[in-house]
Amino acid sequence: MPPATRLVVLALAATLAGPALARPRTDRLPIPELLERYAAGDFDDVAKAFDENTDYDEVLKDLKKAAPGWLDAGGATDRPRRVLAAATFALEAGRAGSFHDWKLVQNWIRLENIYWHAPAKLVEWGCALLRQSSPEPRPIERVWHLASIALVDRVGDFEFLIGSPWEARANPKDEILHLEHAAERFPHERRFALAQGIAAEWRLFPTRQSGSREAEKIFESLQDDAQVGGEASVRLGLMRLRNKTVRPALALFDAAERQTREPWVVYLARYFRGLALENAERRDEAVGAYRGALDAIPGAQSASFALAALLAQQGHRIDAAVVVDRALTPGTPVPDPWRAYGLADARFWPELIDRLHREIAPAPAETAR
Amino acid sequence: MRPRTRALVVSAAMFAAAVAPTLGQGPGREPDHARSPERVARQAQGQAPPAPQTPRAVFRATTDLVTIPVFVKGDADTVAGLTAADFVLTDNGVAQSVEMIDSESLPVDVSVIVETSRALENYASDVHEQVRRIAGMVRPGDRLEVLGVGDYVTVLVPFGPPGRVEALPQPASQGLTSINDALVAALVREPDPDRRHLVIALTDSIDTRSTVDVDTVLEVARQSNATLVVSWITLSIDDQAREPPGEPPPWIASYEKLARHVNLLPCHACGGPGALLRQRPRGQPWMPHKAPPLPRTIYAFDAVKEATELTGGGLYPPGIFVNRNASVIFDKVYADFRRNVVLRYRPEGVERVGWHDVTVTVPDHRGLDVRPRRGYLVEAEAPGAKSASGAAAQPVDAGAPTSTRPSSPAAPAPATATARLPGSLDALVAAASPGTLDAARAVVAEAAVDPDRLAALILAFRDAGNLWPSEPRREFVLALMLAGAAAESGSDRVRMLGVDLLGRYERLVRSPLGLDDYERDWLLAEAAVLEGAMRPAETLPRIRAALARFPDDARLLLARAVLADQLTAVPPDSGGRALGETAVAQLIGYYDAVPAASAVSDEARIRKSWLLRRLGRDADADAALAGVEPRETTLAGWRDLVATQPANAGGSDPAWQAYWRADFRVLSELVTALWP
Repeated sequence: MPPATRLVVLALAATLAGPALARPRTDRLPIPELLERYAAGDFDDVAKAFDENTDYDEVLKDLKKAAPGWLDAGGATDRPRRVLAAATFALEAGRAGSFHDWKLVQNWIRLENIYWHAPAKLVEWGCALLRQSSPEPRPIERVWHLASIALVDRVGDFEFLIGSPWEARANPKDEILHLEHAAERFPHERRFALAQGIAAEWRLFPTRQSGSREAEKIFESLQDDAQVGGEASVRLGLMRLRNKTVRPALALFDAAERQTREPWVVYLARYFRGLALENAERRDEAVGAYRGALDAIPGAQSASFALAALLAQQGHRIDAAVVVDRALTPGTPVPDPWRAYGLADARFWPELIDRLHREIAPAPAETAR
Repeated sequence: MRPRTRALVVSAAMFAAAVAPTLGQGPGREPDHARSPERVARQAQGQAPPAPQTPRAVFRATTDLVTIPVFVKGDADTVAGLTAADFVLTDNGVAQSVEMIDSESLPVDVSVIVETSRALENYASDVHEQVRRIAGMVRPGDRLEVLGVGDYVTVLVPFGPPGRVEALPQPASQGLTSINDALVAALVREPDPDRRHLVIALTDSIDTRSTVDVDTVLEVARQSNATLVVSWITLSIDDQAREPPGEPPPWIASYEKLARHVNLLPCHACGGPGALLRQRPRGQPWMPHKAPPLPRTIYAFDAVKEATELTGGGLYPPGIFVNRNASVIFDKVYADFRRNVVLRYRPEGVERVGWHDVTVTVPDHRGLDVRPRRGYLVEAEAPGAKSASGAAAQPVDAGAPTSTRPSSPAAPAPATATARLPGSLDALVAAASPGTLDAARAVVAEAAVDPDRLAALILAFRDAGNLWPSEPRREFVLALMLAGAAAESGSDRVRMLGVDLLGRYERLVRSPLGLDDYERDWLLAEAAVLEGAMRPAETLPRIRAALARFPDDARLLLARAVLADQLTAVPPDSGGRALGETAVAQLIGYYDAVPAASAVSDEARIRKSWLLRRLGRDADADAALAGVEPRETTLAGWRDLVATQPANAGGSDPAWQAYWRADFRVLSELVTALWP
């Protein structure tokens, strides 16, 4: 080989090998063993192992390899539980991985390629496992899908949920369309419809014209629903507010208060009401609205700071200082619905994963009952 | 444009874009030049302030003292030789007689604000080091706190002696930046009215997450007692500024900020190998849900600069040829701050309430740079509010009433004892709020003595709506208690009020995630109330609705059968009627639908047996009862009743009343289990 060619080959080899060598190696996770422990209720330790892991490609590969045998090992009776355990195992691995890696977006001339990485694929693998394991979904599968949406909402990857209906993709066959899978299994679940609206809302934001109509239509169709109508009304109200139609927005916030008692939604309805009123120079009413929001979630920072600023501007500096003091207590701040507005269903993760855990490995007391 | 100039302009522009009016700051908010001090003052005079929660301090024109810190820069000897007589201070244009205070002796509270957002991840260790150095400069008698700014504003170190900061762990860099919120928080707070307050923010001032906008920071600064200093951490070239004109700028996400600062990512407009390949970070964080940056103006930059100057502080960009890092700036500012001239006066000849413009000059030394606080606000005295300043003259900082603070301004004003009528809504709220169910029960029992009073309480409760927004389950349980009390009332109207009340809550108790144990348990308690109401024509649809939610629940299935059976037991004016053959068959089917293996199967068989006996089908009745040996005393009693009584038994006999009211007997237990 001529020296110049040899140099080129060496350089190429170094370029290709560099990232692989640079990647920190960890011990490969023993997936079959972890699966077994997970199904037996050792959730915290398995989650910790996921957190310490760095190579989720290996997790996905090993899970795909180990799962078929492991699912069969418990016999037909135990299979549904094992399917749920494996799917939830994948979900938790995907969640741990999402803090490190999720997807790659490449711009290629005018088109974008989206490549989902192992954490996202783990979620989709769990989804496929549930779908393929039984033609008729069990009720707990609905909880799994809700948990997967909670995870994806936290990541903020709305394309994972609804694809890219408004853009051309260079690799359209790689679309995942996760919500479609969930909706096919549970066509009457309104929370999935709401998730679709939220995904459309943020996927298109800040486009205020044609695109956001899609989201508005979905929210409008859900306004009167007993389960999600309150949140749909609040989100629709905010869209109206963005379009500077204050009166309809206020009506929607009122409607939300009548429909739900969920503090998260009530807070948002009142906080947005405060914003609208402040913007309309109705500051005393805005003060009342912000105080109302803080009644729903005491110490939440968005309403606290908005209220404090308003009070300070009105000269009520002592009141303002007290409001700020309540929002600035040492330690972890109170979760703020406005700060987490775009995270949507992520707030349900703890409850949902707890329900899944209880189904996979019920506590002794629950079994006895 | 020279690089340094360009860096300044670009960073300012970036800042301006980031803090431009956004969704979170009130959609469509008009520029806040309308919020002039005059306007604020007009508001203070013309509009009633929100009802005060507690007595508020107010100024008394004859007794109140106003304190104005004045930053004087110039020849050291000249500054040191200044006396009160050298200063001319005007308050709303009226010259005042002033005295000078020894500012060195006044203790200082120092608030350090540091960014912990992901955008400044690469600067985290440097920022941490700066905080440590600043802590080392604070005098022992002064106090220091450290606030972190990410998605949230957090207290990293609460106020206390500065030495503790040595042990401050470096906070993890994550999230977006709520710097406006942090500035407002620091400016609004007044840790100790007897101490002066210096706020120094180590930030790039680019806000991506705040609730309030930069104009609000400016307005709050105008009335703050604190002195605000902003030390910019970095200035860097903004790649975004090179994007093709006409394209909307992307959102300023945290990682994009980072990218701009450290040039980690190739930019498609930057040329070079990455020209066609823009790779975002692999972990895609949630992007800030804000409106896109509006056209960039220098206004926002001016606002934060003006905010600092309003407080007597300043904005310091990092030096390129000199060391202007935060600790060096702090060292200088802190020294100047302690040496500030502090003037005090008793306002004469000016309207007390409203905004006071203050000017300070030193006519004999025009070369000096004199920067006083520019004014203060005296709010209108609320009706009934007492002066906290008392008769004695009380020195106060500009615009700052020094009074005891209200303990909980956000809490609703508690109803006074005299306002609480027995059995009233106020009394119920007061009893239920601390969390004692028995106290609430007592109030309901008081109201239940009189049907009219109970009806009034139910209506008031219904109209009041969301009484415990942070803990709605309290409201759900009280609805059951009220409806339960109504079910025992002799008044049909009151009983129906209770039933209607429950109808309002059937939707509200639902979890946003769908069916859950709480909803089922609440519906079971509702079923108990409905059984107790003895209004089957109205309550049967309710239980059918509950069954639509939990179609397999044995207790609800039994409740449906009980209510359908009640149709045969209550008088016609309560909806009773004789059942036809089809209805009877349906009713028997209801009893049969209760699963044999369930906990209520014995009760279902006892009740079915009694139905059959009343229909004259004694053999079938005996067969239904065969083998039923319940352990529970009440059920055992009912079994004996059904087995031994004649078919026409019933009427007003208490044992039969209890029989027909079924689970109403356990309502109290069900309610207790639901109480949060």
